[in-house]
Amino acid sequence: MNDGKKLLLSVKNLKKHFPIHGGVFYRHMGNVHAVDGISFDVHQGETLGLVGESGCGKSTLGKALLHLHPPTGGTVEFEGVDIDTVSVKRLREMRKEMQMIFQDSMESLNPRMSVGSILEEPFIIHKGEHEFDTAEMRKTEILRILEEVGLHESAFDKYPHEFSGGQRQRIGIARAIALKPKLVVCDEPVSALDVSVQSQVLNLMVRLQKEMNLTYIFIAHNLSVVKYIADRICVMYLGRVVEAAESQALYEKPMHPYTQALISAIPEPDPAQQKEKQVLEGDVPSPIKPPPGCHFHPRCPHAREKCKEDAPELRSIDGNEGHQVSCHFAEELFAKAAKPESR
Amino acid sequence: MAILTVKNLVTTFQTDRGSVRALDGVDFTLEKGRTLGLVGESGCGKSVTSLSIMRLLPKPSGNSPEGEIIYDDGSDRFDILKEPTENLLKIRGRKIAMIFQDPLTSLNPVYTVGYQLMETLKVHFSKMSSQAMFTRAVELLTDVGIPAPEQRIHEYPHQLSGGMRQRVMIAIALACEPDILIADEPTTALDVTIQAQILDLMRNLQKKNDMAILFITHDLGVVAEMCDDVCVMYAGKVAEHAPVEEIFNHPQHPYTKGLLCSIPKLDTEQKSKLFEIEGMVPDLFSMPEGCRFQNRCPYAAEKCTQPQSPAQVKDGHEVSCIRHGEIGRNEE
Repeated sequence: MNDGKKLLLSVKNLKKHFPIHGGVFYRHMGNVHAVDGISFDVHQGETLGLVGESGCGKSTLGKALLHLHPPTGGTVEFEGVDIDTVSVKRLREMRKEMQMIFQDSMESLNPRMSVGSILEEPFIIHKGEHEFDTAEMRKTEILRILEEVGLHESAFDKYPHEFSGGQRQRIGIARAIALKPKLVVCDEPVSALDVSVQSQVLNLMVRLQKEMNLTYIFIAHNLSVVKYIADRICVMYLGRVVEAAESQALYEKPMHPYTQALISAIPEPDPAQQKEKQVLEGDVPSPIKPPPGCHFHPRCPHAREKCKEDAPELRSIDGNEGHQVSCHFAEELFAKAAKPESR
Repeated sequence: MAILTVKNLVTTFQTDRGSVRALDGVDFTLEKGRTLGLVGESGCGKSVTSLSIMRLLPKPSGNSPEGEIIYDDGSDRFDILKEPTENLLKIRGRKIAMIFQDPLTSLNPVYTVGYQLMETLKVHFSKMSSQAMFTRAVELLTDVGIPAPEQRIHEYPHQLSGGMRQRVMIAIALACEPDILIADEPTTALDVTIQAQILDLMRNLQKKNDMAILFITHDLGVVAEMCDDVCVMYAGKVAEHAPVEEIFNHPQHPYTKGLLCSIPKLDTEQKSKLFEIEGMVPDLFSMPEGCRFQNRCPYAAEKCTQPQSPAQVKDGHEVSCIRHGEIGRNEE
């Protein structure tokens, strides 16, 4: 399905561990396994959704992709270049092509800078790499971008606190797209917004993607939003991908027990359509000492002996390259779920 | 039977820029054993309503609310707003209990879970022996599904996970078997799988104790799942009040319609244009005359500047939109 589309980002066995220090001599006491061996490819113009519960490593993964967190292991290739091996100067140039939108627009915009100077900063940092050399040219361009994201010209001289949450998120988006990047990592861009404003921002993001042929990595915990915007989805659990598929396929036939539980737990805004819930027991275990074998086995209703010892690989199912699951018994469970009457 | 009737509730705050009416004539009734959902976007007055009912607003910035809040459980009937402060201590926790959004900030970090549970029992049942209190506390923790309650009871809030803390909050709220539970965004800070656990728990406990729940949330999915009746609030006023099926199937107020259309659902077509409610909530200092939604409303007309009063559409379905009749007809 991606024939003809260019491979933009290729992630192989990416790991990010954070050391924990403590005790009198500030000893190394262990690691937080935030991202624990993740691989995927993203093609140009595509949206990849990353979903999972808090602490599953989605934000860390997003930052590791942009080398904001240098990875502990594995590689991230952007347009065929391994970003871990390039020089600092070259990395800075590459950052022009990869930008980020953050969840909390109040904290990610400098309160002492006017919107005009916030948006001018990327042009100054990447001086010489674009055609906007003079201050006037930059101002014209910034005004054009402001209009593009649905803000009034007068925003130029205002400060972030003068805007509402939705408008601030638009400023964050404007900053991210200012240099016409190829890849934008969006870390929970609409989670902090009210529903009526959320739809405005989502519409804006979809429109910009079409106009500028942007590639999004869309990180969120709201599965309905992710399904709406993403072409492909990776479901994460404790630093690993448990299932990856086209978004339609993922919601229609989730294969992994965790994905099934996650989808069944979404409250559907329709009282007539209340489905039978699959309520998972217990909490997400600590990423400091993840359980051995399959990370999900302590909460999995179908866990067996093998799950406690062997960590399952992410593998394709039914010969379908697009749908990958990491569960030893995926076929068996799926066959059972599909034909409940035969049991 | 209506256990709580709120009539024309007005809450004003004094600020540096003058006084602000955060609630401007809120009316609703909460029925015994049922769940009423209070829905709306941030700043619409959902939480102020709950704090006004509990009389928990800070003084002097929050003037005492005006209007009536009648509590009536059949044997006892009084207006909460007219009760003297010392009586309030007997109402809070015993008759009306509350759980908050963030359990970590509402639990005291320096006391054990058990201490905080027994504190409530001490206030309301002074004759209970400490042995009986401990037994009751363990029983409550078991009820809310905390594993190994005899050990957990000696732990501090930071030792528990988010879902566990919310369970403890619920246990504290239910300690004295209140008739009304006010839940202010109880699952907003939790993950979906944990949210499903907590909603499940609340439903079971409601059945068991026959409580009325006032459920405050901004998530329409949770409303569809939990509530029997819904009150949609906008800028300090009730826009629409109806049974849950009515709200989702036959919304009358343009704001309710807009809200329902703007959420992406699982069957929404991918990357199709979502419905937008134009603009944003007006500043409380410069509210328009008449209907407060008029500057964002696609159906706004001249008469929307007139004072609005709730109109009955059907039995139990009230909408405060002066044009609701015309709008409905246009669409059919």
